[in-house]
This record gives sequence, structure tokens and C-alpha cells, in this order.
Amino acid sequence: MTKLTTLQSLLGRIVTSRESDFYRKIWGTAYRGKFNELPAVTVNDFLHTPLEHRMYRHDKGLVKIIKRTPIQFLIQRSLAELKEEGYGITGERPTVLFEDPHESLEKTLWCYERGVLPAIGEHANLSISSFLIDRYKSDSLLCDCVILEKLLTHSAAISSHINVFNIIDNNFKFEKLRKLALPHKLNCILGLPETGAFASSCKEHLEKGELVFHPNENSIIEFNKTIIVTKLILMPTPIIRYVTGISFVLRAHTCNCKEDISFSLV
Amino acid sequence: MSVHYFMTTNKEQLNNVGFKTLNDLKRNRNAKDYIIRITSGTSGSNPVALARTRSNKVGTGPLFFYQGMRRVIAFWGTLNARLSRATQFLFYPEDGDYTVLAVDSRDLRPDLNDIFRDFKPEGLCGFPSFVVRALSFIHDTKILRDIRAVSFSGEALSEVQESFLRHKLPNATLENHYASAEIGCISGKPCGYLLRNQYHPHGRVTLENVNLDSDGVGELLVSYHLGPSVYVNRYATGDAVRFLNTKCACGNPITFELLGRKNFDFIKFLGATFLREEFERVMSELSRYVKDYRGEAREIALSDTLVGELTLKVVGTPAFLDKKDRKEFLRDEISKRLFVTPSKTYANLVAEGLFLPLKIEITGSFEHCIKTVKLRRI
Ligand SMILES: [Zn+2]
Ligand SMILES: [Zn+2]
Repeated sequence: MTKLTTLQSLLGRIVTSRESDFYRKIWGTAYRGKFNELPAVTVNDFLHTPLEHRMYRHDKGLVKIIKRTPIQFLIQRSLAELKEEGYGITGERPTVLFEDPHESLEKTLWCYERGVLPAIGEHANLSISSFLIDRYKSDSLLCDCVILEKLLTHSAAISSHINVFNIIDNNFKFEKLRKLALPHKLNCILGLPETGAFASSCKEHLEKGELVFHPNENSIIEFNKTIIVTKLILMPTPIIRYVTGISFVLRAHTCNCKEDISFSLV
Repeated sequence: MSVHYFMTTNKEQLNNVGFKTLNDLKRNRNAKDYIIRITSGTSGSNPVALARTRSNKVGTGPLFFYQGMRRVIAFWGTLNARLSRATQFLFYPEDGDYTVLAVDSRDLRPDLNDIFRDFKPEGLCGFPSFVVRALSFIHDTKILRDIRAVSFSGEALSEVQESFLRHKLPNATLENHYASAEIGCISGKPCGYLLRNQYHPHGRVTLENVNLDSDGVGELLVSYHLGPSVYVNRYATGDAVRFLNTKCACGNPITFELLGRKNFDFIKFLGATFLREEFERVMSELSRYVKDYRGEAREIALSDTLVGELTLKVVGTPAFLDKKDRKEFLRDEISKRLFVTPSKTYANLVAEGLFLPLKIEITGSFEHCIKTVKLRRI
């Protein structure tokens, strides 16, 4: 299925949903089957709608608390759709370690859904976390930028036996990352706690020392003032034209990747 | 030559087999049946990290208690404990379509009440003091009335906590479990005839009580399967228990009472008393060489007798580390200074054949240790 046919069937399910009218209310009469005419949603739409009023599926899953100073709100992920996320390469023995423990739990469940056994690090105790990575002989790490820097400052030796650092974040200090880990081990994944991942770093560009992203297979990215994301999976609260607030620079397509949309962050 | 063996499994030995369970996992490819756990270290030992099979499947443990509910909140201080419970709810479909929220200590703030209002929990589970602290932020009586079940593990629920909870959650049934990260569930299905700190054992563990004092209180040893092909023999939990001599009214013949952590400030066995103060005195005399230390004493069964063995892990000063034959030097210095009876030193007891020569292990630091227990018997 192409992205477009997947999108059409997802929109159809949302428009006719008996579970929730969250998007119908926002879209009003704007929905005529034309995707790019739909009003975009923002974090405020999530903040002001109770979780149960924006639930399009009710199967088993995890609820995360998402903090946006000064408020917080809930997001649910179900195991069945979480499996489709593009959180990177699990390896055989992944360790998951994020600054935000809700993110750690979600990514750990993702590893389980992908059929591998994850270790979960303790954000509040890096010496225990590095002990765990070492004992488990982890070959893959799922983390964010801040905790990765803390971890490798605390114990640089662990980077030698990790083959891939899957860094899931919305802001990358690339020069710093390159000093922390070998470029061929980096896998930068662009995402937000409420949307999951939507773009991943291009390997070819990484090898040339540049951080350039392509949209993930299950995501549509539109470039407005900031990045607008649509996820092509039926999440409990689907992500349709969500304004991320992430600034970008479009790049010419110079690599051999199939996906021809290329961009960097500013 | 006599062969000696460890009478108990200590943390270091558990660490050595902790990930041998991955061989079983590879054969069966059932990652969801396993959980990786890590504990904080005590007394000079590293933390323990291991992968073990889950202890509770449908109907045998806490999950049974939540039947018919959908939304549960988990409260434990460590993420691996939260993960362990969350995945139990999520991976065993026979038990229902659960939605789990796992609360972190950072989430304990006044607007936790709004989170509860939005999530609408029906059940809670967690570490008693964490649950109590979280509930002190919840004032909405409707939310509190809708909570029907709470199960606890990690520490014993105190009388004060219990009465707070009964008042705060008028419609909830409370349940206590005894479990640990390394072992999983140690207590079986809660029994209505038992007191707050009393339990029947879980069918998956074999329990023993050793080093009993005159009241029958001793240290609990647990034997269990870490995975199908890895058996842990007599793991020393560090918890003090007493077994009751009477059969429970429910018919279960085995009941034990959990009495908290043992006091390891002194260790008494084989006619010797290892006092923490005495160690401190000797070590301060040797402070030119020793920065920090931890001691472990154990009994070792030889072919026909028991002997004691004392191991000291030390962090040395540069003066010590530069020394030739430094281990032998420190062994001799400590052995002749350390009094273990009113009139005898450790060296005397070695000469009498009651103890093996002091073992010195050099370590870089005790940074993994959160607890400051300096002496323990294993
Ligand atoms: Zn590319
Ligand atoms: Zn009973």
C-alpha cells in the first residue's frame, strides 16, 4: 500500500469512528476527503480534551504522562500499534534509557513487541544503569541526547560494545554526539512523546558527517512554519496534521535513499 | 584435600548465573516470559542484574485480584519494578485488556489529582510508602471511591499505612505480597487468616530459615528456578523470618512471619563475634593503607566439619597499592589485631582451625552501594 491509500483508509476510520469524535469536532465541515485542507491540531487540542474523549481504540496498552510546563496530559499507546513504530534497531540485547521514565517504559514495550528482551535502565542511577548494560552485554541502546551524554560521561567504556545508539529526540546537538559515539553507530530518530517517531537520520549523510532526516515509512511530513506530522497508524489518539513546533531546513535529495524528502533541523 | 562448597548463594554468585537464562530464551524465543531485573548493592557487593522468568501468571498472583478491571496504576521507585508489573498486566491476555499507568516519583505533585481524574484508575499496585505518598495528593472523593483493589509488595504494610488507606480508599480491598527483584514472588496467594506480616510460601520457591536465635528468628534462604535450566540454591535474602509451628486455618501447613532486615552490625557464629566497632578500631589503626572496607563472613562445609571464612573487600590508599605482597601484609596485620572473642584474635582462631585465613580482595570503590551495611554474614 502506498502512503496515500493508507492515509485515505485511516482518515475514513477516523471520520466514521464510533469511539471518538475528537477529530470530527476539530475538522467540522472541512473534511471533504482533502487531506491538506484539514485544520491542523496542536498540543492544546490534546491538553483540553480528556483522554477518554480522544480514544479511537481501547485495546491493552500503556498510558504516559506528558509534561509541557506548566501543564501535563495523558497519551495512551496500545501494544498492537506500538509495534509499528520506527524506534530504530533493537539488536539482540537492547537497553532502554531515557531521561523521562514514561518514555523508557514505552520503548521497552516496543522492544518486547519486536520479540527481543529489553533491559530498562534507571535514569536516576547511572552507575547501576551502566552496570546493567555491561552485565547484559547490550549491543543496542535506545536513549535521548541528554541521558546519552550523561551516561557516556559517567562510563565511556560501554560505548565500545554497543553497535547502535538509537537516539530518539526532537533536538540533536550533532557535533556533541559525534564526539560521544562513532558516526556509523549513530541512529538519530526524530520524534515527540505524543507522536512517536516520524523521521530518521540518513546513513549516507551521517557517514559524511551530516545529520539529514528522511520521513519514516509510516509518517507523512508537511513543511509549514514548523514540521507538521501525520502518522499512518491507528494510535489510540491518532496523529493527523499535528503541529510539532520543530523548525527545519529542506535539503536537496543527494543520497541514494528511496525516500526523496530530505531535511535538517535548525 | 577436602572439597568445600558454598552453603549459600551470594549476590556475586547470582550475578554470575544471572544471564545464563538467556540460553533458554534463545531456544524458546519467548522474550515476553522473561524480565530483566536489577537491584541496588549492599555491603561491598555489586548490584545484582539478571534475567528471570516471570513468577506470576494468570490466577496465581496479584493479577487474579484485578479481574474485571481495566485501568491500573503502578507505583514503584525503580523503573524495572514498574516494568515488571506493567508487563504482567499487559502480556497475559487471559486476564483482560488492561491499561497501565506507571507513576514516577517526579509525577508526585499537586496536579496528580488531575491525572487520576483523567485516567480513572480502578486498581493500584506498588510499594506501600509510595502509594501512600501519591494518595496524599488525591482529594477527589469520587476518584478514591472508584478504586477497588490495591496490592502491595517491596516492604511490609505498616499498621499506620493500612489505617490511612482504609480511610482514604473506602471501597478497596488491600493485599500484601512478599517479593524481591532477584526472586520474584516469594509469598503465595494472600490468606485471610493471616496477620499483616504473615505469608504462605509461593509454590515456586523452597524456603529455609537459618542461623536461628532463641526466638526462632533467622535469615531466610530461598531456592528457586531463575529460568528452566538455571536453579538458584539457597539464596540469602537478608530478610529475617520466623516460621510458625501451627497449621493455618485455611489448611496450609506452612506460614512464615517477615520481621524486616537483619542487624548486620555484629555477626556471631562458630564461637566468634564480629563486631562492627572492632573492625572500625582496627581499620582506623591501618588507615594509612585502607580507605574503606566491607566484610563478609560465611560458613563453609568441609568434608566433615564446618569452618568460618571472613572476606574483606578493601579500597586501598596509594601507600597500600604500592606495597609489595600487599594482600599478605594486610591479611597478617588485620588477623593479629582483630579480636573476635574477649581474648582471642582472628589469627588465634585460624591457628585453632576454626576459621580459614582471612581473605583480602582489593576493589576500586563501593560506588554501587547505596546501603552502608559494612558487615554481613552470608
Ligand atoms: Zn538518504
Ligand atoms: Zn492460610
